[in-house]
Amino acid sequence: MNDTHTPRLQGNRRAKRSTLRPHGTWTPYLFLFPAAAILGTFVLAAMLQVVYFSLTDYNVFRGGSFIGLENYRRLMSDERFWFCLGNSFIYLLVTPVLMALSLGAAMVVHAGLRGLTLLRVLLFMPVVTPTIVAAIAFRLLLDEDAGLINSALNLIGIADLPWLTGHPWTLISAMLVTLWKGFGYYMMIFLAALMAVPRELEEAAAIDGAGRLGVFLNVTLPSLRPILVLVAVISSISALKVFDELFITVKGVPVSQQTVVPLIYDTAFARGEFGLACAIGVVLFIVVLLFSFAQLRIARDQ
Amino acid sequence: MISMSGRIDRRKPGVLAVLLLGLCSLACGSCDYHDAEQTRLELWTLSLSPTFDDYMLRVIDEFESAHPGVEVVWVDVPFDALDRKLVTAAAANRSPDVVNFSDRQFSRYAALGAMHDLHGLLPGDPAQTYQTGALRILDLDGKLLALPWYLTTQVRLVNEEMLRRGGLTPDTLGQDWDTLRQQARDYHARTGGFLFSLRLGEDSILPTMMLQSGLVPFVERDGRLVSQLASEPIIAYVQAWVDCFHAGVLPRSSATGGHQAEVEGFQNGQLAVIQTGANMLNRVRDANPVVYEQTAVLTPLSGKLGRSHVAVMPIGVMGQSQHPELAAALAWHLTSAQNQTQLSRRSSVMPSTPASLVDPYFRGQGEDAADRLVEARVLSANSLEDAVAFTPALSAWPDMRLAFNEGMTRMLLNKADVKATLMQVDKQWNALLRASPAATLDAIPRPEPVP
Amino acid sequence: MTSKRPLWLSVLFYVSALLLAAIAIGPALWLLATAFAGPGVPLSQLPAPSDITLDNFAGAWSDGGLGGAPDKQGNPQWWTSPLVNSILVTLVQTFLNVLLAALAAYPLARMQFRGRSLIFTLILATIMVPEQVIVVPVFRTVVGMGLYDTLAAVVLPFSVTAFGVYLCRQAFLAIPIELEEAARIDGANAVRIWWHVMLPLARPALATLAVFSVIGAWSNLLWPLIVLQSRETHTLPVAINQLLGVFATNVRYAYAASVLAVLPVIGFYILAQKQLTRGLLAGAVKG
Repeated sequence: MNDTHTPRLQGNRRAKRSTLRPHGTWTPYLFLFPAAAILGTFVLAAMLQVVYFSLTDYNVFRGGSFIGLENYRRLMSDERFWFCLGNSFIYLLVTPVLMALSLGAAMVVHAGLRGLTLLRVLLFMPVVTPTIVAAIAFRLLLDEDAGLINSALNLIGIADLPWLTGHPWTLISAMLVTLWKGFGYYMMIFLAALMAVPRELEEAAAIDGAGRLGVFLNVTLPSLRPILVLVAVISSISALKVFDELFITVKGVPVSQQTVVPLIYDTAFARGEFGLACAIGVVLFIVVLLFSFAQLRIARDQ
Repeated sequence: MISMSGRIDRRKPGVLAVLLLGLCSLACGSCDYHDAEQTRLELWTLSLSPTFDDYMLRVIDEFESAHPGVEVVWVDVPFDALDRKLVTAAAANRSPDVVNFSDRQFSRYAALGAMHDLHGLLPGDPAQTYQTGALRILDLDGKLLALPWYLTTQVRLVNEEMLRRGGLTPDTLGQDWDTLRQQARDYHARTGGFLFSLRLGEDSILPTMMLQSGLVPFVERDGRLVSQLASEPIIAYVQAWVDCFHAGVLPRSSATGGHQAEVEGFQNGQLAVIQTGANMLNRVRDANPVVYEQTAVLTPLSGKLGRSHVAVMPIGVMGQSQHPELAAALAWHLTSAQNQTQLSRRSSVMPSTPASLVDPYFRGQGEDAADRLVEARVLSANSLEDAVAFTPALSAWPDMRLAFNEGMTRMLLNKADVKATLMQVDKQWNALLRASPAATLDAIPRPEPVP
Repeated sequence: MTSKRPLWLSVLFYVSALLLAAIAIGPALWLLATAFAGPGVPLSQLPAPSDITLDNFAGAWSDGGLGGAPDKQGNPQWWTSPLVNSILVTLVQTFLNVLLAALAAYPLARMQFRGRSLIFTLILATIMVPEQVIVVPVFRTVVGMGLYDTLAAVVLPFSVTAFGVYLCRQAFLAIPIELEEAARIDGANAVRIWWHVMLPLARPALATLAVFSVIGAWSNLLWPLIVLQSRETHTLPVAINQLLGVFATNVRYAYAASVLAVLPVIGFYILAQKQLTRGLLAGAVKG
């Protein structure tokens, strides 16, 4: 490229554009082909296959045949499944805590105190830490007999808590990992949003006599609303999809005491029931879809 | 920025080449370079490596020299990874030929129809070769679906020092589950500690304990086996254990933890008694020499029948195997009396071949009888006479166990009502029994009490 | 506003800052300390200087298989080390993520062709499908391609993401059209324009995408666990999971291996920190 072309071009842009020949007919498709083929095969076609398999009793060792809605009927009367689905919804409680923590962290970083660039870097470190490592660290801290947390609780007179064995503590333990790993990420999103809040608005409100809390509640928070909705949806969808945190942190706890994705994994790859696993997958997909639509609705209403 | 593209341009071929090379090496990550002339047999064992590497390689070598042109590929799989690995391998049409299971895992794959029937494939008569009690549970619906490899009988390891603190001695300690449960309450009240732990929830041993106590949760109706799990004596039996758990007499891990938690509890001095394989004694010695010094080895716990349970490690041929006859020959070779004697000599497992037991090793002859390891071995070998594999030979048994475990988990962790839960499980059991080939009470181990 | 902040608020901010920093790095530091502790140190205590040992790292390397799967003589083969596998997977997956997304994004941003909006909609629709839902058919497809138990199976299904395509398209849309036209007048074809004009100008977005890909590929657990079988192909998270197994020899090996797994990615983050921050603050949000 040569910069001397630019002035000449700007002079007669419209004329030049109209005289340019379009790219070859196949060019755009060739560019698109690799990505479209992969996404088509591994996502779109796969989704259709999931729906199909969910209507069969496909088992790794026996093969399978079409059985209509039998798998869904089986799930409806399966207490294990309902309990796991319920646990998935309990797991959603991580979202409000995550949002409050990350918004708080974003405000501290946004305050622009001395030395806080380092803080921003530190707070993001859990995000890049592999989940398995985070989960192992928490498993260590939450060890029921010898862990730091139970030892600390004992000091203030609280008996050992069954972090790694007793429902619902097992869910809470995994949620702690999700929280730890996630808050730095959402903090950055909130930080970007806070930086975009027009300072003049806040200052005008302050001049009008609004207190700090008033400025925050009446100016800052409303301008963050679209981002709050976005973060709520993203984080609840990933809470519904949780696997790694549970798989490692509460290893050994029966799958029937965990959430939906571990149940899918166990049904498919430890028991070989591909058909049933796909039916659970379809249910999860519908739940996730409902959350996505809710987001679109709320975003549009604004 | 645009001017920088020139620089990239010159480097482009090199960068691309390196990355494409990486891509190719990914695709060939596990390319096999095997001799096409060779017949390849894949053998999976459970957690034998690295301790038994020498033994396994020697036995495999023998097999390969006896069968020219056959290459045995041995893969050792950790216990808890077997299901995932076997299911994915089978789904990928890469199933191994010969697989060693735990008895519970085996019955699940047998029920799924994943195993090859060995009748007619073996070079000898299994009935003449293996212990009848062990062979019986591998014969499902008229098909011999695996051979018994080694047996693990159990012994009681007791921490005498901990017993003393609770006012007990090895002699006053109960021999059966029910006495021990009472003693555990007193022990907990006196010391605040745990006398013992047992797996009630996940991987529950309660069904085995019931059978050991002569409580049979089945009846035969019109020549078909029917569940009777919600009968009064069984409800009372389960209730007693659930109450014991809720009273805090058993550690929490008895609801969720597997066998590993028990062994760890013992070697850390948190449990006074565990029921385990004699091989675990080695582990205790390595992990905590202090506890090892305080450990005494006693006969295994049993129920009212006085018969201890023996766990069989089956080894079978997968249905997907391309060479079932050779695979069966490999399983036969691994389980031969001679090879089992050798294996038992290197560990504290017991052979499933009665011919092995004449070996002086199992009598402790010429060794220090006071050595706990020798003591444990002799005890195990002796207990084989009265021991029974308390595993029903039902193809639905794995699913029935699963339903039972889940019911237990609900009773223990969610405080579900015992009677109501057992009635639910009973319904599930009957549904499972109806969906599988008809069985009779013969499938349920119901031995006479030891005289 | 800083000058007007009352003292109590500054104190509050500093205290929260310290607390947050402690939460963020505390658990990882504890894990680090435990990885260096000898077998006698209780898990609830930091090792005394005299208890510090490298045994856990040595054990993870030799017994734990981080040094590579053994050959027939029992010697570890370094090229099968989970560390090597993870690096390979991460490099290739990142390269493909950027390459394929940038290729697909160009026509979607700049060309008129039949089916454009349909294709774009379908690509975006894939964001809605969680990988956990489709794991069974993806597994079957990979097996059908003969890729079971290869590193290629780990990479291929995730070699392009709708998020990447979207991010690149947004970046391309922001590039002034004049630059592209100038190149075309010079006779450049589509590939040359893509390479010489679009890619260099979209570099911040591509770098952001690359950083996300590195982090994602390095820590992926569920999928490699399903699709990898032999020790020769294990990636780091799969190998660490194995070390946590019920019958694993020593759980402290898993702690040491975790430290080895986290150090490269933290190092990478510190190098790429500016880039990632810029990308995130510019609104690159990955679901």
